[in-house]
Amino acid sequence: MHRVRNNLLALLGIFLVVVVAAWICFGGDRTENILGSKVTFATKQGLDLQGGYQLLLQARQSGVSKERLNVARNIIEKRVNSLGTNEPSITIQGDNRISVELPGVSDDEQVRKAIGSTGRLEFIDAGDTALNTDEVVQTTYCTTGSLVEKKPGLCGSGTNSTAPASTTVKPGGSGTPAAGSNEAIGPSGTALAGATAGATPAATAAGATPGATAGAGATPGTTPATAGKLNSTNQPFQTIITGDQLDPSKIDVGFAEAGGGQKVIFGVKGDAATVFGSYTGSNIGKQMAIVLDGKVISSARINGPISNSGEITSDRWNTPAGKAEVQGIVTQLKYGSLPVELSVESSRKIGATLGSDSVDRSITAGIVGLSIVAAFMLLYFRLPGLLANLALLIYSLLAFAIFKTFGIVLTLAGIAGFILSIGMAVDANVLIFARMKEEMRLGRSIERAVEEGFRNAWPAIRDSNVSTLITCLILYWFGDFTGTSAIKGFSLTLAIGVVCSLFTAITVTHTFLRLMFLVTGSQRRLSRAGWWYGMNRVRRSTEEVVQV
Amino acid sequence: MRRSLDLVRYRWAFIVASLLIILPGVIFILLGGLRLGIDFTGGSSWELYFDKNRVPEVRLVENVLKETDASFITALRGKADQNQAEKDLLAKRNQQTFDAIAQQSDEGLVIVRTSQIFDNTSEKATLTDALNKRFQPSNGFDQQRLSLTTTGPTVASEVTTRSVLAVIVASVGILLYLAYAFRKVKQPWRYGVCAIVGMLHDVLVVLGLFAILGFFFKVEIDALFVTALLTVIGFSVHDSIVVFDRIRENEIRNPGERFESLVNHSLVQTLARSVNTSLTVIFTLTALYLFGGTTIRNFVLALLIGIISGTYSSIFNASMLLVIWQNREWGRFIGRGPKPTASAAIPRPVTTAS
Repeated sequence: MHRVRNNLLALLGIFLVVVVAAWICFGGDRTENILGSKVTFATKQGLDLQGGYQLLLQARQSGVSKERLNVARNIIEKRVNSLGTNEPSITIQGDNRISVELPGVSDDEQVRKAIGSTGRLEFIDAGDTALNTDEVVQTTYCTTGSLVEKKPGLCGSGTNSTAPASTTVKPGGSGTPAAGSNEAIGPSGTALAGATAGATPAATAAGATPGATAGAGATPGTTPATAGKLNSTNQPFQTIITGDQLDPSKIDVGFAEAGGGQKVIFGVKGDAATVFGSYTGSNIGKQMAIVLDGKVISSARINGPISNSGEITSDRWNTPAGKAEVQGIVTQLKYGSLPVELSVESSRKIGATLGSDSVDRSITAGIVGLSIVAAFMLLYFRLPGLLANLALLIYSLLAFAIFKTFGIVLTLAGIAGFILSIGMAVDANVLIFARMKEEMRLGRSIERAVEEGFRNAWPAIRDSNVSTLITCLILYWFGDFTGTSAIKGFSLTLAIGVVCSLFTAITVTHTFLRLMFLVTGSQRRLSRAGWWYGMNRVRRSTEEVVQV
Repeated sequence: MRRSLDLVRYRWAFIVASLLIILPGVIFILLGGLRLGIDFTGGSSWELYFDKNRVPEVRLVENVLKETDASFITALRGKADQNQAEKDLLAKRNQQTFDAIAQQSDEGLVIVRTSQIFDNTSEKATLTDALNKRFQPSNGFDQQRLSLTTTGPTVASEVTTRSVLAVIVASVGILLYLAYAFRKVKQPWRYGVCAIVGMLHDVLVVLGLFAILGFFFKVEIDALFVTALLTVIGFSVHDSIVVFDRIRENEIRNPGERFESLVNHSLVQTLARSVNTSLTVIFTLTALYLFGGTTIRNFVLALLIGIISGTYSSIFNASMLLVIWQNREWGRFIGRGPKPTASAAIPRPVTTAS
C-alpha cells in the first residue's frame, strides 16, 4: 500500500508540474505577481527571428581598462534605450569589445546614430555665421585641445552628409528672455542664453588658435584628423569645452515659457564653467555650435554669459518633431562622449520578415518530428511507448515553460536545439524499454522487468547525457566568445532539453508505468500481457535469439 | 537454434569500410574543398531573397555589386573630407579590389560573399540601394528580407583558433569523463581513447562531406558548422557509451569470458538500442532538414550526417578498436593487409542469455 501511495503522490506532483507549465505556456506573454515578486513569462525571440542589428564594437586603442569599457557600455545602453529599441542587449566581450544587439531595428541611420557617433562632443566657436546641422567641421581639439584643456586630443571619425537646418539662441532659465529672432539660415531659429552671470573673462581668449595647417590637423597617433569645413580665417574652429566637462546630471529637457515648446537645459562642471562663462560673456551675439565627432548637431547664437548652467531654446521646438529633436540633443549631450573610441569590428543585419517565416517552418518541423518520434515509439514499444509519448508531451510543455520563465532567447538554431532534444528526450526511454524487453525475455515478471530496466539502463543514460552536457558547456563558452547568440541559444536549449528529458523520461514514465500496474495488475504471465510491452512471441527458452 | 550475429569477427572489414568512406572526403579536404566562411576569414555575406521562379543569374548579382562598389570607391577617393572609416576602407580596397561571389541556394535565396563592407561609411547603403534599384520587388526581389553579415579580420582569426580549441577541449573533456565513468573497468583510458577515435571518424566524415559540397556547390562552413561539429562530438560518444556500458556490465558478470566474445555479446545485445536511440534523433533532424528554415539547413545537414556516422562509428569502429587494442592486432594488420583475421574469430555463437 505504501508504494501505491507514493506513486499516487508522484502522479499528483507530475500533475501539478503539468498544470503550472501549461499555465505558463498558454496565455500569452505576461508578468504575474507570484509570492510577492514579479515574474515575467515571455517568449523572447532572437535577432534571427525578429530581425535587427547585431554589432561587435572594438576599442581602437589597446589596453583599455575594464572600467572605461564599462562606462562606454552604459553610455551605449542609455543611447540605445533612448531610441526606444525593444529589449536591446549590450554586453562586454573579452577585454576590448562590446557586443550590441538591437532586435527589431532595421533602420541603418538609427543604428549609426546610436552606435556610430561614439566619439567626441565639443562646443565650438562658430564665429559670426550659424553652421548647418550635419556639416562636417575641423576643430582645434585634435591639434591643440580645447580652451579648458590645452593639449592634443584624439580625433574620432565623423560622418558626412549635409542637411541644412538652423538654430537660434535665446535667453532662458532665470535670466531675462531675449527675443530669439530668426537667424539668417534655416526655416526657424533658436536662441541660447546664459542663466548665471559669467565670471571674469579668462586670459585664455577665444579665437587665438595656434593654427593647424589647413586641410588636415594631424592627430598625434596614426589617425589623421577629420577633414572638414574651416572657419572664416581658414583655421580649424576653436573648441571651447568638450563633452567631458558637461555635468550629465544637469542635462535635461525643459519646458520653454513661451509657446509651450521644449528646451534643452545643460550644465557645465567646475573649472570648465569659469572658462565657458568668460568665453560666452565676451562673445554675446556670436554663434556657438555643438559638434559630435566633427559633425554639427546644433548651432545657436549666444545671448548671454553662461558659466554653470545654460539652455538652448528654439521656436520650432513646440512641434512633435521638435520635441524629438530636443530629446535627441539632450541624449547626445548627456551620452555624447564615450571614454573609448570604438570601431565596428563585425556587424549583422537581419531582414525583418525573415523571422516569422522561419518560426512557422520550425514549428512545422517540430510537429512533424514529434509525430514521427511518437509514432515510432508507439509502434515499437506499444504501451510503454504510449506512456513515453505522454511524457514527451509533458517534456515539451515543461521545456517551453522554462524558456518562457527564464527568458531564454529563442534563435533559429535554438529552436533546432529544442527540436533535436525531442529526439533525445525519448533516448532514455528507448534505452529503458529495450532493457525491459530484454529482462522480460529472461523470463522476469513485467513488474520486475520494468524495475530492472530502469535500474540497469541508468548508467548508460547518465554517461551519455553527461557527455552531451559537457559539449553544451563548451558550446556556450564558444558562443559567448564569438558573440553569436545563435550558438549560445543552441547550447542553452539543448542543455535544458537534456536535463528536462531526464526528468520526464525517467521520473514521469516510471510513475506512469507503475500506475499502470495498479490498473492492470502486475501480470505475471507474459504470454498475455507481453504484447502490450512490445514483445512479439515469447519463448521461455534461453536459446532464443536476440530480436534485433 | 539460429546462429547469432558475429560482428567482431569482421572488425577489420568495418574499419576498412570506414577508411573508404572517409577517403573521398579527405581527398577533397586536401584539394582545398573546405570553403571557410566569413566567420573564419573575415568579409561580408549578403542574403538576398527572390521569388523562387524569378531568381536572376548569380553573375548578374555579382556584377551589380562589383560595378557599384568600384564607382563608389572611385568617388570616395576623390572626396575631400574622408572620415576614419572611409580611410580604412580605401586602404583596404587599395590592397585588394572588391570581390563578390554569388551562389544560388534553394528557395530563392542567393548568398553573396563579398569583401568586407565597412560600417560607418555609406558603402553598405550604396550597395543596398543599387541592389534595390536593379532588382525591384515587382521582379520578385524581397527587399525586406535582405540580410548582411560582416566579420572583421581580428574576430575572424580568433573565431578560428577558438573553434579548434573548442573541439580539442570537448574531446579532452569527454575523454576524461569516460576514463572516470569507466574507472572500475580494466584500462579505462582505452574506452575513452576508442570513443574519441570513433568521434574523429565522425568529424572527418562531416568535414569531408562539406569539403565535397564546398568543392562542387561552393557551400561554406561557418561558426554554426563548428557548433554542429561539437554537437556531433557529444552525440557520437552517446552510442559508444551504450555499448561500452554493456561491456562494463558483462565484464563484471562474466569475468572469464574472452574479450572478443564479450564485446560481440555486448554489441549484439545493444545493437537495436543504439540504432533506435539514433533513429529518434535522425527522425527529428530529417524533419528539421526538410521543413525547417533555409538558413540553418546546412547546420542541420552537418548534424544529421554526423549523427548517422556517429551511430556507425560507435558500433563498428569504437568497439572494434577496443578488441584490436586488446589483441594488439595492428602489427599483424600491417603485416598481412586488410583481411579479417581468422584466428580472432569467436568460436561460439553468442546468445542473449548469460
